[in-house]
Amino acid sequence: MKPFLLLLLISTQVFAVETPPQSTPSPADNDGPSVVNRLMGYAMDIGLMDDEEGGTNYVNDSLIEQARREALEGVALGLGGGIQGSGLCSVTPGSSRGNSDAVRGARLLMATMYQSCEAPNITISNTHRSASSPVGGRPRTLSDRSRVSRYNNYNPYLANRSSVRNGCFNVLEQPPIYGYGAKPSISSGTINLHQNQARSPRCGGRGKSGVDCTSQPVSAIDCSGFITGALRRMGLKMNPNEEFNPGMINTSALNREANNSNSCLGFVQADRNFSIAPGDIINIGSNHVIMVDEVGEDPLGLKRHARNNTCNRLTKADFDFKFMHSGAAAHFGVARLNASHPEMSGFMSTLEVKVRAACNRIRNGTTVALAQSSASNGLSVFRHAGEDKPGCKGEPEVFENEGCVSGCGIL
Amino acid sequence: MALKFVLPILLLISTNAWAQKKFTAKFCGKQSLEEVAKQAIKRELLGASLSYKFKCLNEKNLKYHNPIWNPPVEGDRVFDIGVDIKSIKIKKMDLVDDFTGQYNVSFEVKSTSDFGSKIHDDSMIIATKLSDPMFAEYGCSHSMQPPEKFYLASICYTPKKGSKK
Repeated sequence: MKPFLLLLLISTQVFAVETPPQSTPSPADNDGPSVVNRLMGYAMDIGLMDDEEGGTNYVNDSLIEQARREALEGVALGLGGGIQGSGLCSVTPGSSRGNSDAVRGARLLMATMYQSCEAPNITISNTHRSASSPVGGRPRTLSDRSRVSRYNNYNPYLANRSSVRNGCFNVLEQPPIYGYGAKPSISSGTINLHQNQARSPRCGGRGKSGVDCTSQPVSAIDCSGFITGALRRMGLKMNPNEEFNPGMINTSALNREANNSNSCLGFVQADRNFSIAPGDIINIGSNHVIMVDEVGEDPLGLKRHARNNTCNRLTKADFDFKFMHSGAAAHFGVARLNASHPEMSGFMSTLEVKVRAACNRIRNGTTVALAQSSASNGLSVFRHAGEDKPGCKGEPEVFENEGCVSGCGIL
Repeated sequence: MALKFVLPILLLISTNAWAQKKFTAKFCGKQSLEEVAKQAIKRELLGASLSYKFKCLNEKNLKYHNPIWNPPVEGDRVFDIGVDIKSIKIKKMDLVDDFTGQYNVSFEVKSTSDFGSKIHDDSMIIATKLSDPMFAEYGCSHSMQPPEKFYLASICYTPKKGSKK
């Protein structure tokens, strides 16, 4: 009997001993959905899509764009539920419709970057990961032509495109990848997204394009370059009547700009009915920035949890939106992702805390800034004022090679 | 007689629980706030927010945190200041949001001799009242806003001769 008690005591003590936590193992990759997603991408690029009954429909650019245009018109009319949502907002703090100009700019940037009308409609799979991407290293590189070929097959925006249409930039020869520090250049009103970032003097690590100088030719753009390039394309300014250089505004500068008293970037207000909308910019200074592209009925879970008084149960699993960015996920750079993409987990965790805090404050019906940081490295959510504020929208620029996708109907 | 069956089962459950020990609101609620904050700073000094992963993030004991590397997506952040990790001193903790337990933690840390042996004042914002999945993922706090400067503990690198002062 006594040995048993002794064992029990030891066991209890062992249980009480604090152990150093182990690193969270990465979830095992599952290629299944990735293949499905890739096949969807292939099908869309060649104009083949299965309908719900399993038959095959022929989809062309005009059909896709018609649907897109109708959705964007819905947003412009104030359908706060966003592209997918259907609920009309009864209370709409600030602008209820997001900024459709900003979304158009980002979608046009994406189409131009990939020289494809379909690109802005393709969401990468959650199984597209950096670990399985043919792009390697930091600075990033596609070391030889076989890697380029593998990458072109892996990237759903490039897959199944054996050639590029006449008059378009050859993205198969010089594919877009992610480059931290790579910026679009602007000259005489033209924004160039297709500079070879593997060429000197741009190539290299710190302070350069983030692309190795030994890499095969690639285009690249970083996260703030994506956002500022999209805004600049549409003539959207940081401050009224002031031009800005997309290459000079990083994520820290975006936070600073938003905190200027006369800024064209306003902090998004949230209440029990309304939070983020397409075109909203979610920015963590010195880290990353994304643009919301498509929202569900309750994109952050605020509606449900604020009304049910369950803000302490709100998690990032409640997030229901898609976004565009240029980021490290799968090393793609410019891409459209679900909020649940595992390589965005840290970013979404920080957003989760901010949303929970906002949820608690709006429970009683008040309106608050969703996330507003005065620090250069904090998280903020802002929306461009567009034409609502005099001087914030000026003359648009154009993207180099935009002519290839000018018939997509994005604008 | 019953003990012959009950005790082994108890032992099994107990051992299993020990092996699968996870961070929870209950566990973290028992820790002192200052110690949780100190650990959060330590995690940053081990390179959690720098562009390059240092092995020491996993090798050094983090009591209240998972050693998760959260590199920035934009820019290339190489450490600017080598510091002595034992020199961390928390100076102040200001409550930012009670519901999520966010604090602005002011601290000081001393740079190593090859970085001038200076006292550096900085701050970071942590959240301590997390959702259950976030406790499990990160530990007892999450870095909402890392320190302004890019530090790295001297135990994580080999100082170069003639390195910057």
